[in-house]
Amino acid sequence: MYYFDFVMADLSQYAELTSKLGFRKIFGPKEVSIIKSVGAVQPSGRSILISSDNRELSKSLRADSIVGVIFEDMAVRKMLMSELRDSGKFLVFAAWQIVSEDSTEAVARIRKARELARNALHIGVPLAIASLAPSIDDVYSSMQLIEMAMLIGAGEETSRRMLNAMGELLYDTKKKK
Amino acid sequence: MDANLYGGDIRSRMLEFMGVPSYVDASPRIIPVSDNVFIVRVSRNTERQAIAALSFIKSIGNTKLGLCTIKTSGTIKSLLKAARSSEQR
Repeated sequence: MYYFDFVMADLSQYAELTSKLGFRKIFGPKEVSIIKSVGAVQPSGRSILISSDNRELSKSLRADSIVGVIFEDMAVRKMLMSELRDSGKFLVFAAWQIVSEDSTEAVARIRKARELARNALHIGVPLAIASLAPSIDDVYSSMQLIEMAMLIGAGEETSRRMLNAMGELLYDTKKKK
Repeated sequence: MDANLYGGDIRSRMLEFMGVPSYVDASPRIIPVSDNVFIVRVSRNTERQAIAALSFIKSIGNTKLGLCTIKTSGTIKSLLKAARSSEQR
C-alpha cells in the first residue's frame, strides 16, 4: 500500500524527502490547492476546502474539483457528513488540527478529533489524514501520520487507508507505469 | 540543532506528552548521530507511543523545529547504518 501526503508549502526543492518520509508522492500547492471558500476553486485543478461555515461546506459537495473537506472547528455535523459520504469526498484531518505544543491543548484537540472521527466512521464517511504542512518544519513521516490517525481512534488498517485513499485517487498511475 | 545539547530537552518534552507511566515504560534514550539526526532508543512495544510523542515536539527552548521519524528497527546498529548511508546521499 502506498502513502501520500498533501502540503501547503512548496517543497519541490526537498524532493528527496518524499521517499525518506515513506511517501509515494507528496502533493504540493500546484497540484492540490487548499482553499477557504468554494469561490476560490480553480476549474482545472483539485482542491481541499478548509472551513467552519456550513454553507461553504454544503456548497463544496457539489463542486467536482473539491476532493476533500476539513472541518476547521472539528465540530460534528451529522447531516453534512451523510451527504459527504454519498458524494464520495473525503473528510480530511490535518496534522496541525491535532498537534499542539501545549500538552493540555493537545489533549483537548485529540478528544475533539476523536469525537469527529468516531462519528464519521460510524456514518461511513471516507477519511483521510495529511500533514498540510505550511513549512518544512511541519512535515511528518508516514509513520507519524499513521500514529496520529490511530491516536484519534482509527484502527491500524483504517489509519493506513486514511494515508492512502485520497492520494491514490489523485495519483496518475498511468504516467508512472 | 545539536542533538548532544538537546537530548535532555527532548526527553523532558516526551515525558510531558507521554505521561509518567508511559515514559517509565519506554525509558527513552537519545543517541546522537549527527547535527540533525538522532536515534531514540525505547523499550520494546513502546515505539508507537514514542513516535506519537515526538510528533508533538515543535520547539526546544527558543528553537523551532520539526521532528520526523524516518525509520524504526529492533537494533541500533541497523539504524546507525541507515542514518549514515542516508547522510552520504
